[in-house]
Amino acid sequence: MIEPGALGFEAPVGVGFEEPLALALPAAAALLAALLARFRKRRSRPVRYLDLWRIALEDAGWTERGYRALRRAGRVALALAVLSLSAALARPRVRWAGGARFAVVVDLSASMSARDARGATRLGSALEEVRRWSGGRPARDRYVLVAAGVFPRGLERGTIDRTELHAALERLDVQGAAGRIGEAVDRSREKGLEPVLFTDGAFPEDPRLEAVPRFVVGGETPNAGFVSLDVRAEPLRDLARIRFAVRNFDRGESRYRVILERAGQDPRTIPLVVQAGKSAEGEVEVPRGAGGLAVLRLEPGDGFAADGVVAARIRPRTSHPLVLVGGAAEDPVLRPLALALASGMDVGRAERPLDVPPGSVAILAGGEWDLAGSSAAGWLAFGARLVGLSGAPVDSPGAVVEVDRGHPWLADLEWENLRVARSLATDARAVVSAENGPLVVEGEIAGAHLLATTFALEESNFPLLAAFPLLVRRAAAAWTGETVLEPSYVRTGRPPDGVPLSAFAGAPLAAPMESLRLRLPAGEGALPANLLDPQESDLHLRRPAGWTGTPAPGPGVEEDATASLLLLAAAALVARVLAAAAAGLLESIPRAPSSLYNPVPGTPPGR
Amino acid sequence: MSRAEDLTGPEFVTRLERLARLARKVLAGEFTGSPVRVARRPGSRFREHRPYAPGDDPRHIDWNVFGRLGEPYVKLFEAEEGGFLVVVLDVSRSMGVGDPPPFDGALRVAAALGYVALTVRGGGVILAAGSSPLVEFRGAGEEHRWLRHLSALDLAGDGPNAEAAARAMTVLGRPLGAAVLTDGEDPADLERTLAVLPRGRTLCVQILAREDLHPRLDGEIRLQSPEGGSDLSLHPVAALVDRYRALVRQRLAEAEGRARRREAAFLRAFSEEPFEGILLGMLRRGLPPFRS
Repeated sequence: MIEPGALGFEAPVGVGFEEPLALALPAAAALLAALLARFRKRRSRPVRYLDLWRIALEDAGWTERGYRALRRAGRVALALAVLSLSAALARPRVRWAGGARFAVVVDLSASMSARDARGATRLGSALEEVRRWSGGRPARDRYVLVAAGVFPRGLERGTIDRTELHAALERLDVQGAAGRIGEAVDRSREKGLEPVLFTDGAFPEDPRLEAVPRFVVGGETPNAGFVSLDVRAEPLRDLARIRFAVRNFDRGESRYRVILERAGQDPRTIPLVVQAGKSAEGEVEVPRGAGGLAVLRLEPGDGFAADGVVAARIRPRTSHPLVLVGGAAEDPVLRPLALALASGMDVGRAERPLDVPPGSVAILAGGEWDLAGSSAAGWLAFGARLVGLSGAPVDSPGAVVEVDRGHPWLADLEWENLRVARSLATDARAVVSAENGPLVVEGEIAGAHLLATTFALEESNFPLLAAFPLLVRRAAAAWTGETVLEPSYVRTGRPPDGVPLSAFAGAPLAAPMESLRLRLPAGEGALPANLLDPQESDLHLRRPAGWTGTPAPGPGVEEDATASLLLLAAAALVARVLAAAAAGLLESIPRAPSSLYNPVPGTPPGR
Repeated sequence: MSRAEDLTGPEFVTRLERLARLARKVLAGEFTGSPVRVARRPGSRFREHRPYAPGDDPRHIDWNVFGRLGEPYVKLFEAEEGGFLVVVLDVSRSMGVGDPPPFDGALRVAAALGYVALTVRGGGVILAAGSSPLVEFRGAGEEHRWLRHLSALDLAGDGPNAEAAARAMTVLGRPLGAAVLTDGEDPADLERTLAVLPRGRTLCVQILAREDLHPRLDGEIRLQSPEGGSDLSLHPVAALVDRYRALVRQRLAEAEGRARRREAAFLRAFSEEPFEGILLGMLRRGLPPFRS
């Protein structure tokens, strides 16, 4: 249905004339036209070849119809010109409906980004209603668009018309935190504007808003959100497995869609059906590729990013995370270890430390090495002599007497059965020490982590102990970050501790989160931080959808239509002249022959 | 001026006499040694008297009878030498369409043809006007009755009537020739009429109004057929008139083609063109009916 005024034409609600006598002009013109028509009545004329006229009319009828249309258009234009001119001379005062000055207050709080089952946001629905409502209003209404976010904006500008309003709507976007609607309404009234509110009703009861006409976006918006997120790598398949859980706090069963968005890839949708008060788990695998951010969005959500949007940073896979350098590749102990690790890691080889790929963990066995210039993430050295790490040889270092149990890699490892024939006493920090010197040391060399045994593997029983492969694996995992890909951050509607509410606009938190477990903690109050908190939900405050109250019709606008009518009369006269000229071109009939007498037999009839 | 005044008035008769003198000169070769005599006495065998009527040649008044009776009578003679001219006149209503109507032109040409046949050729004239009964005019002295009869004719709604023409040919013993005066609206009708007239001795004169080819129409107009029936409302724009004129030219060419197929001489003229030019052109070119 076409709304009133949508075509740019509206009927005036009243017309007055300051010189009404001028209106006699069209009456006189009509009388004159009637007299002329009486003299120029349609004539009848007998013709010899009526049948030929019929054929000609069939053949060239389009020209005749065009001529007829032009003549008719010319007459209409002339009548319009006379009417317009006479009306203009009467100095008309036209009163149009409208003239109201509205403040269109659009709620830009975070909840307005909630999407319905079709994927449309509440803000989109509200703006659509603004267009529909203003399209049905009189064209002479004026508007101020007030973006009711954290800081209401728009009141400083002057009023705009309907077309500008529609253009300005395109620039609105949700601001994240709660909108300060009451303040926007107060300031609108101070400016003499009538506020009209477009919201989802997600604001506390406010006496300032009681009498404000408003449109509340309708539609079901389930109260649900993510409650868990876990991201892990699949080493053999080069995939990252993302597992999530969604909790439904509504009273009935609901259907949801979890949409996975990743740069450069088409969104993927995972449907979920969640019982009331229950959680449902979902899983999706994404190729690690070059890494990047994977965003999960719950639809329909309640609009708060903390509940409806989570994200995880997928690290790109490191090539050759474990590299055997030099003779370590041929070591009878390290080689089986490498083969065992190869089931979970990609093991490479390098002749020199400089050949180790960036980010890898390099393993040395014996020999003397200068690690300067290498870009390895860490070094595991077994009985190697390293430049910058000096020490004196120790024969029979003795039994293990001290282990740093607080070290994350040494926890639960058995060292009591370690027997070493000979070691090297260094000044690096010892994490495992024997009676006569350190056995395992930790430090940093050439900017890289270092974990080194002070003894050669073949001069100890270390390769026979369970602690040996576990230590290697833990070090590699820690330095390469291969085994756990942590969710990097989550957008949230709640500010971090210590940030005042008024200054927080829902910006993304930079601090990475811990890896989350799928299993929910017992009890409703023990939900993981920054995920859905039932206390955040404000949906129970929503008002009934649709319009409440009626915006004022406006005092009306009175305009002098003289100039417009004169312009219209001039345009009509021009149209009349053009139509007459075009008709004249069509009716230019060729000249007749001077004689038909054909003294020479067989000559064609003359023209 | 009424049609009677036009055809029987002294001005028109003077033009006819002047035309007759010119015709006599043109035909002089054919009537060697006798044109003057024929002029004074077109037919040598007396046929009857009849009362004098205005327009009759005073030279034909029989003064002996006038002396006895006190009333003027003119003498009529049998047409012996000239033979008969059959004039087939189109009196359909379409002949009245135009300004001047082709019927007026046709009457003037018919009057001239009959006048020459009666006075110069000394023959007779038989008129077949539509489906009306045939009317005969014999010899000198009948020319004024001929003119009066023509002036009294009116449009009866019949075109060139083949049956009347055929009847005229059967009642005549020695026809001079024939002339068909028509607007040729229906070429098929014209051909049917020409089919019964003598081949090689028939003249067909198609007379049209100028507006048939140059319709002077202005603004919206309703066109009607003179025969009645439905009408047609239109604006005469250039393309429409052009197309109409092309169709008219095709129609005229068709009429001429049908006439020539029947070996009839063919002339075409606008209704306002002087009849003298048509007659003299016909005579000088040796066209029928006075020469085959």
